[in-house]
Amino acid sequence: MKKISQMKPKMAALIIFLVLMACVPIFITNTYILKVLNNVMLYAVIALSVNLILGFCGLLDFGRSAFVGIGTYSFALLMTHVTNIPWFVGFIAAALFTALLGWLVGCFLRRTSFDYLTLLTIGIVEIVRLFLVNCTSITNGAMGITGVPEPSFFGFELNSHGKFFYFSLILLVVCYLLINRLINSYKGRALMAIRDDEIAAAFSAINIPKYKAFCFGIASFFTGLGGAAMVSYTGYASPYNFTIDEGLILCQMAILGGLGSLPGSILGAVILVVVPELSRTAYEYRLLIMGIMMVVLMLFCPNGLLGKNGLKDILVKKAKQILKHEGKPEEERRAAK
Amino acid sequence: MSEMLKIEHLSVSFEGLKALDDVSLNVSDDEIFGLLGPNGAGKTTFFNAITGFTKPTGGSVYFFGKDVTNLNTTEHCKEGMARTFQNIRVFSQMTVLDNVLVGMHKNLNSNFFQIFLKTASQRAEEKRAVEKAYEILEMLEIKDTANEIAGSLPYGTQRKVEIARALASEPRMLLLDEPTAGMNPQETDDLMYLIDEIRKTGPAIVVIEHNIKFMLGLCDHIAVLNFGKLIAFDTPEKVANNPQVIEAYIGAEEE
Repeated sequence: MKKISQMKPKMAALIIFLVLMACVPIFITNTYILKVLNNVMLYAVIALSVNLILGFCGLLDFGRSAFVGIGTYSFALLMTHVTNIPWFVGFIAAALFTALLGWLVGCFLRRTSFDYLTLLTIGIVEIVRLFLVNCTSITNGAMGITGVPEPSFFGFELNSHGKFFYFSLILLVVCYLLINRLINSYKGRALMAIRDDEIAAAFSAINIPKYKAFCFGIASFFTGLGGAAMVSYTGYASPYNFTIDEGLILCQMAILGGLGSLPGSILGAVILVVVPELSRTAYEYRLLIMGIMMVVLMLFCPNGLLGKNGLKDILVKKAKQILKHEGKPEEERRAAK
Repeated sequence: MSEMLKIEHLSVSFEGLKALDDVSLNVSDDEIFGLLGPNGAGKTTFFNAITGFTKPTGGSVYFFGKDVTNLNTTEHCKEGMARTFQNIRVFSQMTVLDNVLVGMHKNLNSNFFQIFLKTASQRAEEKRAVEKAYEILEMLEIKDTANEIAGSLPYGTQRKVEIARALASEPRMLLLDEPTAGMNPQETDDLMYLIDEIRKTGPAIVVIEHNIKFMLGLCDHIAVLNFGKLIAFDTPEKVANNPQVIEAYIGAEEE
């Protein structure tokens, strides 16, 4: 283990930040705050998966909430109908099932052009929603599914918000790491190539339909993890949470934070989960607030907050300009004016 | 010195418009081959047809003896073709290094478990790929732009990035579509020298160009298209004196 002083500053800052995060449940015992933080982290996992499709592959998927729902319901059904299944096995199985369905949808959409793909994803989220509400024999319809167990590892149950905090933190870190490794590999570059120029990507021997389907599949694995974790936290699956509005909010988390930036997705999740909680008015008007935020963002920094040439980059550039300007002698400053 | 590309009676029609009309020619694996012709003659269509981007409506394309006429673009690239484009198509939001690394896609093989677990073999493969990418950037003299975003670079540099990306796939045939478009005479000379250098250690090259002086100096053989038809296919000197070629570009003498 390198000493903190020997590591690169970014790495050291990250480790310190994670250690601080790990201390949070020790100092904060207010269940409301812990609940919000847990929600932030689970939404961040889902936002990362949305970023993978929107930001890295350039496919506009408005229906991610459908796959959150598939993750939620497959986990809930598995845990309540199959006896003696270890929690972790059910968790991964639900995510794999979501990945499989995601891959099948990706196969279905892989040769569709951009606009039609988005329309089809809207159709898919509606289909899933209607299935969850109406197919009572499987999903228990409007009553939802109750009694979904919280995480338990080798008999150790995470039955408090504080204990669940550690689970969601570790889940977020692991998902972030895996997606980061994917992005920095040749498969990640293939996705970005498809985003930037499909024709040039085809001429680089990239099998575009295969990679689009693959992107949907892999992203849906992480979406499924998020959905399963969420229902494990609340204990109850409701079919009314997986609408197109939710799908749009998930897109906004990724876009607000900056498409193509993984920390951005986390920041987007933080903002869009916390802001509606700041006041009851904020919650009631949350769609309006988010709409205004999006319009302002698109006008002034379309690349989001942490994306390339996003708000952070613009501010850093401005700051450098000001510092450079301040550093010059008086005459040069007057001449420049 | 063997036959690399054999085109037989190639035709491409778009709903009645004959973009290519019964074109036959061949290119050997150690030459620089030029494709000339006025605008709209069918040169880019020719490139699209032999790389599987446009399906030919007639005729055949043989690449090192293999019939590749009906393969798609990805398969053509796997066979060893690479190209650049008339309107530059770099991956504008990726770095120059990443652009070149994408060129190597077909030779990178780790599966996604190896990627997720960052196994030693995956890391080694990545390292080799990055080293090779830097070698290619060095050869094209753009090594210092490796971490710049491709879309923010000047036009001439983006062209070089495109060429670097094409070379990264280790092609047996490199197709360049108007590489000197938008360049000044100095840059054009540099590019001519560069193409020669590439040919010495690398793939055979087929170039589409308008700059006749450039082509006469560079190519071993030249084909000239006009209105989709092949009007000349010979050495540069003979093509330059071919009356049909002169007529296509300048017009016939008035009687």
